[in-house]
Amino acid sequence: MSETKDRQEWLDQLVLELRLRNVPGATIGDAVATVRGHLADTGETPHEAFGEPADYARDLGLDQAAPAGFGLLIAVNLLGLLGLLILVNAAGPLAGGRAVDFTASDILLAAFAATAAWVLAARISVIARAKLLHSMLVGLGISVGTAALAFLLPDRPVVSLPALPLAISGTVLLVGAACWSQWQSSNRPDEVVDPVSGKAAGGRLSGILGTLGNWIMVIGAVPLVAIAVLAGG
Amino acid sequence: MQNDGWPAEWMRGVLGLCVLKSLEPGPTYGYAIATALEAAGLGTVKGGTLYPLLTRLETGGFVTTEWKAGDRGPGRKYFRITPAGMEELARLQQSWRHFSRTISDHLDNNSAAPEEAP
Repeated sequence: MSETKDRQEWLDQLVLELRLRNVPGATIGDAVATVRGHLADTGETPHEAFGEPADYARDLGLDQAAPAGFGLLIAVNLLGLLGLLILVNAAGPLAGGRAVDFTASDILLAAFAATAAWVLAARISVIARAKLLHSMLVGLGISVGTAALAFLLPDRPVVSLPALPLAISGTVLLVGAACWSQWQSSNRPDEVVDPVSGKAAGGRLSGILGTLGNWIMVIGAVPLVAIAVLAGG
Repeated sequence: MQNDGWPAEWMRGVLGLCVLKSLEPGPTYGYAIATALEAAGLGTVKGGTLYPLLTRLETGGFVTTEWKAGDRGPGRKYFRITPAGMEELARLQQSWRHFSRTISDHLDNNSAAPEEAP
């Protein structure tokens, strides 16, 4: 691993650890710039000068309480996810002029998705610190297990509901959650800012990715609804 | 945290005082503080020890900070001791002198050994 890559990975880990400690973006930018300046002066590697990023983030003592409304953020995103599931399930029957039949496996998958989202939100620090490959393997394993269980459940409809009200409800929940997230992030920007230049460390790309993140479920719904309409129409 | 000469427990106790002292002549940056401490015989003070301490001093109102753009490469964060920091330095210096005299007196006093149990 090259020196520069090692340094960037260490700094990325420091940003992550400080974010998990609810440190404001401007303070994180200051801490990152301090490390960069010190390493430029000493010629040391980040590990030599500062040890592990998690330990250094803790030792800085910059922790803040979780911002108000974090529970609301999770709840709104769960509602958005529920809207996505309802819309995708209603799209095909709506195109075909049928009612929406919910089977036991549909209900199981919805419950699994809601539980997974809740666990993700509640254990975000554990998941964020885990290696990407490990997280993907665990997620894949759970998903395959749930899908297998859903496949084994009887395919009889448990409940039938009219498609149009469901599709409208799902769209309102899905788009409403995205709008709320967008309003929240533009209302309370908390970017990592370089203390010397005053510019956001992530630049324009970071802003675009942040906006995309707010609308990811809406974007994802488009192909899913299209497939459902083609399959069910 | 420092060279092999000084026990870590001692350094933890006096490093704040020594950092405030190194800021007394005027604003300076982290690496210069570490170099000054090393030149004073305190050994190597790593960034992982120095900056959390400086952050605590800043939070306590004993130092203020200011960023200056570097000619090449990243900028430097300068630390300036505040009037409250100067008062704290004077208080700690006086307290340290009293403490070190007390310990020296105790260590030099050969009659202070406890009596042996019968």
